[in-house]
Amino acid sequence: MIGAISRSIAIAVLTLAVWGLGQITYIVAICPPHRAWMRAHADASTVVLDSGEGVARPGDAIFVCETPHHIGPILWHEDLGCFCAPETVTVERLSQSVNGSCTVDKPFPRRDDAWGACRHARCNHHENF
Amino acid sequence: MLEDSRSAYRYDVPTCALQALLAALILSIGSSLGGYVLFVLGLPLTILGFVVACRAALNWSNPTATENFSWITAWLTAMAALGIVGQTTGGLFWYEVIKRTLAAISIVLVGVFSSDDRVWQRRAAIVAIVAGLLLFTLGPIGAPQPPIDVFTWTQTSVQALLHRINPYTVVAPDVYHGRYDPGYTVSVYPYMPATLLAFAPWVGALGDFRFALAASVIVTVVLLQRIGRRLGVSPQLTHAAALAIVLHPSGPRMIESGWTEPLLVAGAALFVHFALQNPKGIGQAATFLLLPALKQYVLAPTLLYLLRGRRSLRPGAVAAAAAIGAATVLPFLVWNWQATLSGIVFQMQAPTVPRLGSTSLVALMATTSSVYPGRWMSPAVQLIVGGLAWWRLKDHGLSGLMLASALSLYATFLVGWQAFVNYYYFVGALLILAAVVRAATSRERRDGQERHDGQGALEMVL
Repeated sequence: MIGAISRSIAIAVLTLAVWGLGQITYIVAICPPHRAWMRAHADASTVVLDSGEGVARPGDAIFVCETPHHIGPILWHEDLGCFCAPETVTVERLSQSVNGSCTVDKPFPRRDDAWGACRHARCNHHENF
Repeated sequence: MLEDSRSAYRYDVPTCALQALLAALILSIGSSLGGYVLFVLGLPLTILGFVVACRAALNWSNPTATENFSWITAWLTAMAALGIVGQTTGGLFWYEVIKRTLAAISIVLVGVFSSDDRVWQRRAAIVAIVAGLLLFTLGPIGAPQPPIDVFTWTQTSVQALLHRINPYTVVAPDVYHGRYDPGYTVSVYPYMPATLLAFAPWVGALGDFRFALAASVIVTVVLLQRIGRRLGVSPQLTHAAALAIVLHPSGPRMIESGWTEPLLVAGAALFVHFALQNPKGIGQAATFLLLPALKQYVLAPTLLYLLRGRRSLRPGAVAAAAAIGAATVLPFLVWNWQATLSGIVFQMQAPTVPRLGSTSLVALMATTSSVYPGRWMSPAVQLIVGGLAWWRLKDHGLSGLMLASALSLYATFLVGWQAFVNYYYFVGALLILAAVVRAATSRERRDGQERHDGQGALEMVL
C-alpha cells in the first residue's frame, strides 16, 4: 500500500514537473512577445501585433509596452506587447501599473488600422483603471 | 481475510478495452492543457490519444486480456495532479481551495486504488468518486458569475423561455465588455432548443442551469456502475472508468463554464443503459437520437447508429425516437423559425477564421502560418473516419458503435476550426463507454454464458 501511494506521488510530481517544463519551454523558445521585442530592436517600425482575439474596447487607447518576463523570481527576458487601456490613462501611470515602459501607439484604435505597431485594434492585454 | 480481499474480483480485462480507456485518459489531459502549453504539450498528447484510440480499434477483435492496470492508474494520477494547477472559470477563493485540495488528496486515493488490496481499492475509488461529485455539485455556487459567454447566453435564454419570451430573440449582455473578438459576434443563442428544455426546470427551481450539468455527471457515474455490474465487468475497470470522469482535469470547468457536454455524456450513458435493457426499445433509440438534438456536431454517430439499426431496430421505435427529437425543435421553429434556425446554424457559419486557442491541427497551422484548410474539412473528416471506423468495428455491436462514434468525433475536432476541451470531453466519455462494454463482451465469451433473459439478447447487443 505504501509503495503504491509513493508511486502515485512520484507520478504526480513528475507530471507537474513536465507541465512546468512545458511552460518554461514556451517562454524560452516560443514567447511571441519576446520575438516582437527582438524584431523591434532590429527594426523600430516592426509590427508587434496584428492578429489574435483580444481587441480594444470602446474608449480604449492602445499602448506599446516593454515589460520584464520572469520565470518565478528570475528575470528571463524582455517582452514587447500591445496593451489596451482607457484613453484617459497616462503613459506614466500605465508604465507603473505594468512594471514596464510604455508609449502610445494609437489613441483611437480602429479595426481597419493597418499602420503602427498594434494593428486592427488588437492587443494582448487589457488594463483596467 | 487479506487473501479474500485480494482475490475478490480477479479477472482479466481485454487489452483493447484498456487501450480505449487509456486513450480517454490521455485525451483528457491533452485537451485540458491550453495557454502556453497548448502546442507544446496539449496538442501532441491529444494526437497521441487519437493514435492509442486507433490502436484500440485495430485490436478490437483481439481476445488478449490483462490484469495490469498500472498504465491506467499512472494516467489517473497525472489527471489528479493537473487538477491542482488547472484553469478556473471565475471560481471563488474558498471553492478553488477545496477544488485543488481535493485534487491533491485524489493523488493519494489513486495510489491506494492502484494497490493490490481489492477492498482498499474499492474504498479509495468510492471516496474519490463521491468527493468529486460533491465538488461538481458545488460548482455553480463556487463560481457564481463565470466570465464566459456560454454562461450568460444560456442563463439569459433559459430565463427568457421561462418568461414565455422566445429565447432565440433575446440578446445576452457581453460578458467580455467588447475586449474579445474571436472573428464573430454572438447575436443569438447558438445552441440547440433541447438544451433550453433540459435546463429550464433547473433554472426555475434553483436559479442556475449548471446544476443540471452537475446532476448529469452524477447520473453518468451511477449509470457506469450499473452498466458495469450488469455486464459483469471487472469492478477495477468500472471504478477506473468512473474515476476517469470524476478526475478529468477540466471536469470542474465543465460545470463552472456551463458547457453542455455533461448532458451529452449522460445521454450516451443512458443510451447504453437502455440498449442493454431492451436493445430494440424506444428508450435506447430516443436517447441516442437526442444527442444530435442537444449538440449540432453529432453527425457521423447518428448515421452510424441508423446504419447499425437497419437490421436490428424496429422501424416504429426509430420513428418514435426521431419524433421525440423533432419535438424538441419544432415548437421553436413554429414560434419563430428564422430566429431558431439562425441560432442552430450560428456556429457553422459564424467563425471567419480558426479559433487560435483550439486544440487542433488547424489552429496550429493558423498560428504558425496563414495557410489552413476550410471549414468543410472538419465534417468531411468526421464522415470519412466514421465510415472507416464502422467498416472496422461493425461486427462489434454496441461497443463498436461507441468506439466508431468516438473516433469520428475525435478526428473532426483534431482538424476543426473550433476544438475545445468540452468537445473532447464527450469524445473521452464515448471511449470510456466503449471500453466498459467491450470488457463485458470478452468475459461473456470466456465464460461461455448466455447471461441474459435466456434469449441471448445481451449477446446480440454487445
